[in-house]
Amino acid sequence: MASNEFSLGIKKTMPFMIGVIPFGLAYGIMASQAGLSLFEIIFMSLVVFAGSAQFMAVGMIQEGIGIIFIVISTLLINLRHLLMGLSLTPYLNKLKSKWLCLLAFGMVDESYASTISHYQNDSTDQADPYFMLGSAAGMYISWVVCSTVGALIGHLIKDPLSWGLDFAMPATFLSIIIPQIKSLQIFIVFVVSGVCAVAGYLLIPGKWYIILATVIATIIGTILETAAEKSRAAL
Amino acid sequence: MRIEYIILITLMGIVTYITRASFLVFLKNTDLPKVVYRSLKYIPVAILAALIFPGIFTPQGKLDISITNPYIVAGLVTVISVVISKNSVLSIVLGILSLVGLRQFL
Repeated sequence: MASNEFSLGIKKTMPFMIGVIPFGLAYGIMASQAGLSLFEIIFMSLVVFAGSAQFMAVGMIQEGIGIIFIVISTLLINLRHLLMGLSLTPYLNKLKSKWLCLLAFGMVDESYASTISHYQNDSTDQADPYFMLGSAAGMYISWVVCSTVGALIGHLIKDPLSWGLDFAMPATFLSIIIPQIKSLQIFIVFVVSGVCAVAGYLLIPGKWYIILATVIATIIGTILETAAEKSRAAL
Repeated sequence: MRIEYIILITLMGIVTYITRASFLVFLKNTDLPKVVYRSLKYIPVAILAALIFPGIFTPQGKLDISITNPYIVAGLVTVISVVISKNSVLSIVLGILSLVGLRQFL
């Protein structure tokens, strides 16, 4: 029973495991271009296991940004996990804390997506944690292996500029972010944050511009959505 | 292997784990104010935008919003490609190739 659900979790997550391959490779290549060693690149994938945070950290390391800013940005970019965790609790709230602590480590965007859709379609009251465990394990293995291969490739490339690899990071971010712009509010948040970041980058010493722009744009987006809801309610 | 990177990666791992575990493990069936849900949705977009824009619009540390800035053109190629093809890998490759191509001409 347990092993059945475990392998079902892997099977249902297979498309994501394949989909993450180019991103794992890209992360490994970019991290090696940013000057991280093979061990450091693999260690980050093993310990952090969060694609967008790892990309962000590598970009910031390349810019010479200090540890404290990278850690705060990691916290901010991963705050979305709070919501994912919250939405899984109705299915898993009878489990022992030990189980939940283990599952929490493997809750990445992809394993969350395949797990929540499986649990929602399952008619039983309590979901089987082995499904999520399998899903997370599949993502973990795929992520670590692809990062390693990417790191090995990255260390072979001697002249990254002539390969246009300085654009690999912004291009990757754009390809992640553009499909998420599904409403006017999100678009405004995107533009406001970008403009604030450019202004802050030029005017404010240090690297506070990243956190400043993020906070300003997030507040504006939240206000806009609240205002839009109020005007809808008034009609 | 440098100690400051090991510390950085370990701290990143800890804060990431905290965000994953805190609600799942400690907050069972608790309702939060709506405004919290709302703001959390915008953070990833905001932070990625804050990272992308300066790299594209201030390539040498100075503002350059002209058409001769190859990063702007390569960025547009990437965005248009994502919107049309919905294929992120293809779009990343096209963006990088367009930058390499533009460097030859500009």
